[in-house]
Amino acid sequence: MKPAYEDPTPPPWDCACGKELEKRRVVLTYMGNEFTVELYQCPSCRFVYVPEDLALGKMAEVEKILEDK
Amino acid sequence: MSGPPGLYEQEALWKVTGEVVRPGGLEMTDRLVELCGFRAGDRVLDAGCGAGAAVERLRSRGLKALGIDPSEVLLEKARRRFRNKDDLLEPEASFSPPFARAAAEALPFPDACLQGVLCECVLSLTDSMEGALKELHRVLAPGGSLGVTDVYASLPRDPAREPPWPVRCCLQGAVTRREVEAKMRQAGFEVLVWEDRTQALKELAARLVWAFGSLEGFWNSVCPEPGETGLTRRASEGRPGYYLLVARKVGSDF
Amino acid sequence: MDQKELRELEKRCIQEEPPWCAAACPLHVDARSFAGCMSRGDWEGARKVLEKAMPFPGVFGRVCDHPCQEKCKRGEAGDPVAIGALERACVQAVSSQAPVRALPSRGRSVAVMGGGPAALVVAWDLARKGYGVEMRVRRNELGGTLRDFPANLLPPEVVREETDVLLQLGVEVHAGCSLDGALLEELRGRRDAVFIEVEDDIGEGWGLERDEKGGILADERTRATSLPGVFAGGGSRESVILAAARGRWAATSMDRHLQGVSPTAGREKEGPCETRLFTSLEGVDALPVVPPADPAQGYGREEAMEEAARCLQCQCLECVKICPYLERFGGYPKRYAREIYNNESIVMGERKGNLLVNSCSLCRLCEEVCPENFSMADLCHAARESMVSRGKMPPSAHEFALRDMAFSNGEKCALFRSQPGHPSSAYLFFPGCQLSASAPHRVERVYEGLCSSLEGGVGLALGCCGAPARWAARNDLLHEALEAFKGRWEAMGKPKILVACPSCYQVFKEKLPQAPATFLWEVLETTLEPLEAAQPLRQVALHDPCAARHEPDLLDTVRRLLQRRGFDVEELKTGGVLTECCGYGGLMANANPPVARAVVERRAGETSRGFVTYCAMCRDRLARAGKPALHLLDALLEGVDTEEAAGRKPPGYSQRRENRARLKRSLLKTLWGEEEDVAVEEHESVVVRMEPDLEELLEDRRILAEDLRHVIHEAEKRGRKLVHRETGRFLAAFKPAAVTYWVEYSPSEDGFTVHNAYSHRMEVLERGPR
Repeated sequence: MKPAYEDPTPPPWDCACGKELEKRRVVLTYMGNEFTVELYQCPSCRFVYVPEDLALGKMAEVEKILEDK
Repeated sequence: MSGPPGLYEQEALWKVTGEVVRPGGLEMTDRLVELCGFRAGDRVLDAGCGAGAAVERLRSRGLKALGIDPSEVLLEKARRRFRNKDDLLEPEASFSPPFARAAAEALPFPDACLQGVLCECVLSLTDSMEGALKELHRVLAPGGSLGVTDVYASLPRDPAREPPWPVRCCLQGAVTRREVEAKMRQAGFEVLVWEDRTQALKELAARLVWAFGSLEGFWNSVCPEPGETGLTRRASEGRPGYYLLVARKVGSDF
Repeated sequence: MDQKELRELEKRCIQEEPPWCAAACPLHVDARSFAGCMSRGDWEGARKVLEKAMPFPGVFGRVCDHPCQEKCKRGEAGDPVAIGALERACVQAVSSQAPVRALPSRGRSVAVMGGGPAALVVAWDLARKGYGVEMRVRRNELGGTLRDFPANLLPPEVVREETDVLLQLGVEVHAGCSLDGALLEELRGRRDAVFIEVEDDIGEGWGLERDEKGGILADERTRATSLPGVFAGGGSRESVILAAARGRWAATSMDRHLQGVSPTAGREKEGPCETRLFTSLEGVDALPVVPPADPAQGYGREEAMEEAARCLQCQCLECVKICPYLERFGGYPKRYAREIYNNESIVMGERKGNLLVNSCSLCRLCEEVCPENFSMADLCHAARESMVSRGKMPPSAHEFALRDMAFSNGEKCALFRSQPGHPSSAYLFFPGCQLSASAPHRVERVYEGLCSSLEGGVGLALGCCGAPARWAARNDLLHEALEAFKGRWEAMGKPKILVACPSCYQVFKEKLPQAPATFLWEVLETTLEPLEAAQPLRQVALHDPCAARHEPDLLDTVRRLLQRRGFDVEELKTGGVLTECCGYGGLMANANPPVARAVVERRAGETSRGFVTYCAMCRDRLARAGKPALHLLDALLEGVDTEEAAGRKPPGYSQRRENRARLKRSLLKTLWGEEEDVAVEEHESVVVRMEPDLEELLEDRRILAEDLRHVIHEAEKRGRKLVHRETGRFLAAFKPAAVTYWVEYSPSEDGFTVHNAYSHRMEVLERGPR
C-alpha cells in the first residue's frame, strides 16, 4: 500500500553509529490508527528521524483530528 | 453528467486513497458481503462502481457481480481492469460486459432481477436519494439485500437549502441517520443492520492531511477554482459520520 | 447534566429574545433588521424584511400606527426611532421584492365578509395556503376603511395595486354586497369557514354572541366566535395594524380548523408580547430624532440612513462584551449551549465543540453580568464531566496540568508535617502548589512567622489541592488527592487549615466541607505587627482572583491589609464580585493558550498602574503579560522592596518544579533537621544550558528541563542519536510517557548545550507495515 506520507528531503543527519540514513517504510500509530509513512531510518540501529516541521505540522494536525472523538 | 466535477473523479484524491475512493476501502465491501449473506452465483450490482475494484472483489468471492457508474472516465478504468483479467470473466455471464454507464436513479435492468445491490459512498451523491432507493428496490428480487455505506450528518441539515459545492461529493448530501432510515422504510426496505464507521472517515481525513498538509490544502487541490473554498468549514458542519447499513427488500409505499 | 437541565440552562440566555419593537408589533415585524438595512442604504433589503411579516407592505407600511415606536429602546436615550416614517419612505420608493406564490389547491374554500384591512389579510394568507377564497364587500372596491385615509397618505391607486394581487391568486371578489345574517348562513352552507370583518355595526342580529362593547364576541387570539367555523376580527379605527394582525390570527385559526388540528398549540408568542431581552444603555448618548427636511415628502435617502442609524440594534451580549473567550467563538451562550448539547447527545465530537468546552476558565463572571445569570461554567464543566465519563476527552487538553499536579503531590515536593517540637497541630498551613512554585522564599518566611505567632502548633502541608483535576473533570484524580489529604489531616488531629490561595479555598469548601479552611490573610490581619508603609512602590491596581468573587469577607480583608500598609489602591471597574479571570482558571491556559493570552492582556490593559493580587498564578500571568505585579505577600512582609518584587520575572515550568522540590528540601533541612534521602534519578544529574530565546520557545512548547535531561541521558547512555553532518550536533529522541521529545544538543564543558527541542504524541514504530 502506498505510504500516507514520504519525507521528500534527505536529512543532514547521519546515525551516530556511522551509517547514513535510508528512506524506509515505518508505521506511525496514534489512538488505534496506523499510518505507513516513508521516513529516513538508520539501516542498522533502526532509529527513525522525525523532522521538526513534520512533528509540528502534519503530525500535530493528524493527532488533533484523531483525538477529537 | 453536467454540473461541477465529482470529487471521486479527482486524481488528487486517488493518489491518496488508491483505487477505492472511499473511507474504509474494500474491508467495508467485505463486511457488507458478509452481512448480506450472499451465496455463490448470486447476481450482485455495485451501484456506483467507479474503477471496479469492488466488482473485482465480489467476483473473486464467486458472485455474479456487475457495476454501473455515471462517470465514463472511471468506467473506462474498470473495463481496462477486466480486459487484463480474462480469467475472471465467466463466458456464461448473463450480463456482459459487466459495466454500464448509468445512474442509480435510472438502472438499466428489468424488475426483480438481482439478489443484491451494494451502494458504497453513493447515496448521498445522488440527485435524489428517494429516486435512487426506489430504483434499487425495483431491481432487487423479493427478499434481496441492499448493502450501503455512506456519510451521515449528526446534526439535522437541509442540503437543498445550501449553495452548491464547487466539487460534488458525498458530504454535500449527508443527512441524519433518522432520515436515512425513514427513506429506506418509505422505499420499502427493512433496515437490519446499522454500524457506525466514523473512524474510517477520520482515518481518511488523516490521510488527506498527510498528503496535503492540511484539510484546507486538500480542498484547494480538488476544487476547480483554487482559493478560499470555505469547504473545510462546510465539510465539518453537520458533524459528518460514516455508517454501514444492510437492508432487505420488503413491501413499498409506492 | 441531563437534557432537561441543559434546556433550562439554554433558556436563560436571552440573546435571541426579540427586540422591543418586534415584540410590541402585533405582527412581529422585525423593525431592528429593517432599521439595519435602512441605515446601510439597502432599501430593497429593508422592504424584504417588511415583506416577511407584513402583508400588503405598500398599504400598511404607509398607514401603520406603529405601536413599536412606543416601546423603542432608543426612546430611553433620546427620541424613539421614527420607524413608521422610515417604513413609509421605504415602501413608497421600493416595490415588491418577493414573487407571489400559492400552494396547490386544497379543494377547500372559505368566505370573507368585508374588504378592509383584517379581511384583506385573511384573504391573502388563506389564498396563498391554497384555499379558495370568496370575498363579499360592501363598497365598490376592496379596501374598506383603508379608503378613508387621506389620499396623500394612502393613495387609492396604491390600495388597488396592492389588493390586485388577490385577484392574481384567484380570490373571488363580489363588490357592492349587502352583508347580513342571511348571507352569513348562505356562506356557512357553501364554504368551509367564514371570516367577518368587524367594523361599526356589523353583526347585529346575525345569531352571534355579542361582547360587552356591543361588537361580535371573539376570542382575542383565535378570533373564534360563538358559531363554529365563523371567525371575526377588525377594529381598524383604533389601530389599523392590530386589525391586520387579527386578520392573520383568524386566518391561522381557520387553517387549523379546516385541518382539524389544535387551534391554540404553539401560538403563545402571537400578538404583542413581552420580551426578556436586555440592552445596556451604558455609554449611549441621547440623540434626538433626525427629521425629514420636507415632512410632506418624507425621508430621503441620506436622512433615512441617518435616522435609521440611531437604532441601537438592541442586543444583550453583556457577557460577550466582557469575556474574550465568549467573543472568540463568535456566538453567545444560547448558541454555545445548543452546540455543546448537540455535542453531548451524539457519538462524535467536532473539534470546535471540544475546544469550546475546554476553553472556559470557569470564572463565573458571565453569571454576574447576565441579567438571567447564565452560567457557562456549569455548562462547560458538566460537558467536561460527560466527555470524561464517556472517554471522549482529548488527552492533550489537560495532560500537562495534570502531570504538574501529580508532580506537586509526588515524593519530591509533597510534605505533611507538624511544627517541629509540637506533637499535635491546631493549625495547618497550606500555601498551595503555585505559591510554592512561584515564591518559595515567601512561603518559608510566612510559615516561620505563623509558627511564632500562633499557639497550639502550626503544621505544614505542601502539595496540590486538586483544583486542576476538578477543572479537568477528572473526579477520580480529585478524589484520590483529597482522600490522601483528608487521611493525614485527620491523623494530625483535624487542624484548622490556613490557605493562601482562593482556588484551594474553593476546593476545600466544596469538596472537603468537614475540613474547614480559613484564609491566611484573615490570620495575618490579627497577627501582623503594626506596619510602616510599604516601599517604594505603593500605587497599584487591585486584581481580585476569580475564586475570590463570592467571598466578601476576603475581599474586605485584603483591602484593609493593603490600606494598613499605606497602599494607594485603584479599584478596577471589574473588580470584587465582577473580577475578571487571569486566564489560568479552568485550565484555560492549558487548553487554549491564545484565548488565555487575550484574557490576561485585556486585564493588563485596564490600568496604567501595576497590580497587586493574592493568587500566585494571577500574579505570574500578569507579570508575563508585561505588567509589574505584586503578590499580597510581597506587599505585606516587612523589608520587601515592592518595586523589585513587582518586577520579578515569573519562573517557567521547569523552574516552578525545581522551586517546589527545593522548598521541601530546604524546609526539611532547616526546620526538621532532615536531609532528604530521595533517590535522585540518573538523568537528573545531567546539566543542560540554553539561550534565553530557546527557553521562551520551550516554555511555549511545554517542554521541561527534566524532559531535555531525560532525552539526553538516554541518548548518551545508549549511544542512540543522530549526528549533523556539518555542525556535529546531536539529535535524539525519547518517550518517557505519552509524548516523544526530540532534542538537538552538543556537549559543553560541564554538561550539554541545548539548541532546539520539539515533541509529538504520535508513536513511531521502527518496523514497516506487516
